[in-house]
Amino acid sequence: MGGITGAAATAGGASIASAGLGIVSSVMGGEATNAADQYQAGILSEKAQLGQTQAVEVNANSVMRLNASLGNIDAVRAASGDSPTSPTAAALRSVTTSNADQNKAIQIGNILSQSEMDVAGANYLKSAGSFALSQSILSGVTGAAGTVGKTNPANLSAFAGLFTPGAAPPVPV
Amino acid sequence: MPELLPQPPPLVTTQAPTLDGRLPVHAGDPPEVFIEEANLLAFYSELIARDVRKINAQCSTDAELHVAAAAYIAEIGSNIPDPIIHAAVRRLAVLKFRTIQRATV
Repeated sequence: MGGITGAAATAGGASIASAGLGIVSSVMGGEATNAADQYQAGILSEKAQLGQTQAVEVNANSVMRLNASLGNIDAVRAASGDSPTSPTAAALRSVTTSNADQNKAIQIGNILSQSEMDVAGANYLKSAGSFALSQSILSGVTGAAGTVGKTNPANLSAFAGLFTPGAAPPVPV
Repeated sequence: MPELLPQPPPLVTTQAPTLDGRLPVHAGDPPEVFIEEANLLAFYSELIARDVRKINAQCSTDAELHVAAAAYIAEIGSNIPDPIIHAAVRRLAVLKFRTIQRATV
């Protein structure tokens, strides 16, 4: 009889310990997911910085060459007597400009939408990390409650003496 | 006293000048302008190809490469006052990212 009571008490204690461990492991899992998402967002931000830095370097290194080319273009135009006010040139410019403007608008639109998507992706990762953390806490608490709920209360009767003042402790077998 | 011919209306050019007051490269330019433009793009092409290889080497996933390429393309040529050449340089960068990535995969 006493052996059965001791075994039940051990089982009840084990189930409570298991529930506690479930909470801890779930919270730790959420923290790990959160950390991974934050890390990934940081990496993406770092790579965007890398791309921008490289482009800025090219812009800076090509200034002299760019100015020389633009100067040569002006010189060629002046030497060939190309007048910006000639009607033919104006008509050609009009068509070329509208085509170029259209292309530019499309390109810039694509680039802007892409960068918005990148920002949205980074924000998503950050919020997903927080969400994973809160969900893991909730999941841990729910799992623990479920485990305690499934525990047979009769198995806990052996602990009753522990919480009753003046009661004799259970006799170990 | 000869009768004066009516004067033509002043020509209004539809093309806005560039940031530095120049007219952009246009279809009415002499061929030498396009040769100069091509040489400038060839110069940019070498720099961009070097950068694209460097960025490819430093990015381990497609997502990282995508973000770095978008940032690069958004910034490249931002100091070029001529919108036509600016657009060409950007397009060149897009092309380099596509071809070099495809070649290395």
